[in-house]
Amino acid sequence: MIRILNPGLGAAVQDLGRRGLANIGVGRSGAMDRRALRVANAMLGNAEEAAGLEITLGGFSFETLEPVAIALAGADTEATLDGRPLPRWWARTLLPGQVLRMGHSRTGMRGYIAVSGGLDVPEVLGSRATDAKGGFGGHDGRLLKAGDTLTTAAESSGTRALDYGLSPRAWPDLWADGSGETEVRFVPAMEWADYDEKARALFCATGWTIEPASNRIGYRLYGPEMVPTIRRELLSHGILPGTIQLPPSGRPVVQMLDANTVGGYPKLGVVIDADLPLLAQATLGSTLRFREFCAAEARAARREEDDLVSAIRRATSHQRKG
Amino acid sequence: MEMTSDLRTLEDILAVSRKFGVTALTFGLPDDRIELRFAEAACPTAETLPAEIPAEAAVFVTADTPGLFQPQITELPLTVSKGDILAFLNAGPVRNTLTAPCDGTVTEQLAETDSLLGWGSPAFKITTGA
Repeated sequence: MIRILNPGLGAAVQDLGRRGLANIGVGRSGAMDRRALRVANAMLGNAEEAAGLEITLGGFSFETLEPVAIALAGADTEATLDGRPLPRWWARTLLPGQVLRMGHSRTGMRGYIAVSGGLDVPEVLGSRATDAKGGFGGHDGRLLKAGDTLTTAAESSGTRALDYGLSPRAWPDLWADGSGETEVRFVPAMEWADYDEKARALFCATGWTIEPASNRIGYRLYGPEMVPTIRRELLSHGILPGTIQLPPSGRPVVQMLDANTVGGYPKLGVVIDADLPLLAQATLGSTLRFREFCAAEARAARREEDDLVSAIRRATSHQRKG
Repeated sequence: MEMTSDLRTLEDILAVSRKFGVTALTFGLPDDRIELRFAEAACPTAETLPAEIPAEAAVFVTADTPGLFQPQITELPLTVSKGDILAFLNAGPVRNTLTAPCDGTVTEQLAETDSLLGWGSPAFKITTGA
């Protein structure tokens, strides 16, 4: 059991989200940097669907009320345990009364904490993810507050004491810096054809700035105005996380995991699933570039994430054997 | 289980027990129990130092797990507290920390950066006391 001391700017219980419910207006939710949460769960030997904490921009702290093994993943939040640095991508067994604090992340947006066995919050519509907009899932359907207590789903007595991390030499991709320039790949969508060659080239050549008004719902981008050759009035239709829309302002918006399930703006493309974690960690004010990709390659890229998580699960299994 | 595996398991148990302040462990069934009592470390920790601390004593920080040595301190001498991370030991896909076993001043780095350390390899010298 842990007690939240300071929720920071936004902390919530998340898992891999809800899929297959967009037809009834239920969004995906779940960890924005899905890869980080999956790696954290793998480091503890948790199930893929185990729920953990997503902490946006750090400033978060909790104390332990019972022994619990945790894994720290995602952005570098300069975390400390009882005042001593706790390195990134680290698994550690905490004793009752210990305090974990996160500083403010400068090179990424979101830190993750997995706990052994996963957080024990009720499953709603097949997931424990917080849908803060809808007010359900997670812990009482909301962001965490100081004083909230969260229990873990596993008996902590059977857990071997952990104190190890992932080597940056072995997994360099996990140490990516999201504060500079992030390149994400996209698959062109229906209205991509409404833009001429020059406009499409401009879209891919531009370093788009992520505006401060960006969040789990969507990322607003600042750059040159994109003008279509054909202007269309579309009826609202289903959209997925990663959809790059072009509102009348001419500046793209990338829909993220808490986005509405329908929208009517023209779609330039969809950021591939494998790159949504990169987008999740791209800091406000940093630069985003888009590279056109094809659907088959996008599926292969997603398998690379699965392979990474499996490899980490295998490579760390001996650390957990008691 | 092979002998080397047994020894490694015991090393693991010892390292974790020291880290969390455990001095004895009993496990097994009532009729077939094993009891482990940990003697004072060959390399003294803060808890095992004698009450009468010499004016100045040297503590050698040794690797408790094998790995490529990656120091996290750059300037010596450096005052440290028990538990401070002195180095990472990278072992393939994972890494472990090498922490200060006691308060004191790190006066020497005894292993080359990126060299491979084994169990018990000396890594740092800490001077304690005045």
